[in-house]
Amino acid sequence: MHRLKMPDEIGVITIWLVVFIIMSILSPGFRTYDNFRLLLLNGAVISFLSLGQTFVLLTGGVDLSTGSVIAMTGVFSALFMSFGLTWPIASLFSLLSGILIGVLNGVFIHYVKIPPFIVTFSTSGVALSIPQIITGAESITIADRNFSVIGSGRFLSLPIPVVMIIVAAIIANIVLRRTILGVHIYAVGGNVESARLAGINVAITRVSVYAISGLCAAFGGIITTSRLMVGYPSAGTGNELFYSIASAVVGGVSLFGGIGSILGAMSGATLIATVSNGMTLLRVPSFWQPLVIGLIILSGVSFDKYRQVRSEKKHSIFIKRASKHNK
Amino acid sequence: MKKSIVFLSREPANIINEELYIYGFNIHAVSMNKLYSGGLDMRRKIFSGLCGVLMILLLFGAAATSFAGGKPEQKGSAATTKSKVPLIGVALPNTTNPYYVAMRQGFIDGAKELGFEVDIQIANDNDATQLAQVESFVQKKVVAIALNGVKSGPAAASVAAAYKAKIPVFTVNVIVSPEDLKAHGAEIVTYVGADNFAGGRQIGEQVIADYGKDAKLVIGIVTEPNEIPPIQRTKGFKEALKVNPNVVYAQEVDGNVKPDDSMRVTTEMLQANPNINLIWADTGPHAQGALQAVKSMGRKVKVYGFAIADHPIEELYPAAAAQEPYEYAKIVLQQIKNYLEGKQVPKEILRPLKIYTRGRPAPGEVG
Repeated sequence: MHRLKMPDEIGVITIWLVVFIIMSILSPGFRTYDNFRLLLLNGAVISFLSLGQTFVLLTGGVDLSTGSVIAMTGVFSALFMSFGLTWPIASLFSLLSGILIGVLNGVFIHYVKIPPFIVTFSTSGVALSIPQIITGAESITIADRNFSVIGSGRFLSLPIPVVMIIVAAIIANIVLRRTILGVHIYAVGGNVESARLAGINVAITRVSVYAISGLCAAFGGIITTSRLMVGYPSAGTGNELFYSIASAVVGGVSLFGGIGSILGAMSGATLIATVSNGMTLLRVPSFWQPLVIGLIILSGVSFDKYRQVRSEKKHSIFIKRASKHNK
Repeated sequence: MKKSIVFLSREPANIINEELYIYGFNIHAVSMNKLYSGGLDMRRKIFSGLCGVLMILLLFGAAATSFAGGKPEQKGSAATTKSKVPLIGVALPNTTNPYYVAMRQGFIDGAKELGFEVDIQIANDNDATQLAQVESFVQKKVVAIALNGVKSGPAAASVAAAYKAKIPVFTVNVIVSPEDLKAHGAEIVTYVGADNFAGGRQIGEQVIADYGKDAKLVIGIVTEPNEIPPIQRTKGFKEALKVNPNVVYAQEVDGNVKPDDSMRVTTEMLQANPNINLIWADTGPHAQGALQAVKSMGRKVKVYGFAIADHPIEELYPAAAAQEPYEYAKIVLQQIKNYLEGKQVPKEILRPLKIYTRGRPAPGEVG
């Protein structure tokens, strides 16, 4: 008997649709194309963080340093431009610095066997302090005015950061679905010991996912800095980290590794961006926003858990029947 | 059908593979060489050792550079007892805000001029950390404490700790809640800070001067509802605009005193209220985010507010009020000097704000 399998992301996409329809009914300002673009633009940084976080979560790790990497790479790009570098070169260097933090995370986690929570928490402190030490905690104005093209430019009427995240998500999807690295990432997250015994290079896999997460956070830093046109040493230290992990988890990425998809994480990020945007448009006081987003995360994860338990039950019934039949 | 097995052996994996493939197995052979020889362990040890050395070097490097910077606040009480220079404890909330960077410099420079030594502690926005720092000042037997509390309420505990040890406390910028002080049975000597209400009112008056008394203004506000100074500023601003009956307040959003958050909420506020034609931003970071939001959306909405650090006045940012944290620090030190010499000091010193309508605020002047 063949049954059409429901995609795992159906839960979060349904919740998003419901939220979107409710907001559209309540607020005329919400249901415009302009606002939809703005919502995606304001959600781009969290989407980038969540994209990188998905890779890490799939291996069963967690990256708490991403918020600080936003601050570090943002200040670095401003700093490099103040040295007279053009913006593409400066951006390239700050992307590299993001990757470097990721590689450091991966190396400590794999070779020194420190739990990811501790390692990334520590590098978070390091990444946050470096720009403050260098600049004396002062913000740096961007010297190269052309840099604003990243944050404020348009491509086919879409803001550039939105185009960037769409392209990045497509690439990430290909990496996870069609490459050896992708298979290895799921394998390491599923069961690290059997992955190792099957000849998978766990070291390279782990270091890669943290490097990817660092790179994604660096993109977040460049977007934030380009939109503000100032390198600000405490950028990205608010709700960004929490919302990015929440986006991935609410989109069905398991905190224990091995399960999840890019589509799910991106749907989660869009859901959170929609809620945040919609509530400002509805003039809901800002104190309510974390509460509502918290409840949405809880309901999304509960729904996934419920589905998982139900499918396990079905599975176990099937096994029981099969074993009876064999007797 | 081919069967798969996992094979562990001391031989290199490729040799086992070659030998066993003949028998029709899919082999996942894993060599155990490394596990037996202890090579992996050795490498891990060397690696950990190297990491340790690297960290120690880094710490030394960092410490060396900060001493090379010659910050006098790093000196402890041992130095004071020898040199007999009076030591003053300074407790600040953070140094991520340019405001406190300027204030810290004011304390360092002011101390040099007046012949004090200062021990500056940064609480990283944590009330408990600040209390511990003030208690350490008590242990060091400082002659006076300058306190910029993290939050108005909890800061009273810090004041009380010093008050019990008979050390005079001077507060700056953040007002310590009078009710909490009373509950602790403690008091402060002098408060020095900006006249926030007046600052907001002055910018409001500037709006009236720019637009007239009957212009139709639809105003969006970027504020921080959790902090007293921004609330006072917004009250002052609204007070000044009462003379114009055509003013409408469209929406208030929370910018968190951070430019990135302010930019996000301002774009959303402008989206929700297309008729907004003026924005009031009650701190420097709020003004910075709001201005960038207006520019990125291509809107001709002017941003009035408190001054963005080191940012010139421009068409869309026509007026700003600047505080002088550098000066406040020096004033506090002067009051401490007067107090120690037995002179009368006032209970409160409220400094007027500098209003800029052209040029850019000087270094150390922040919103």
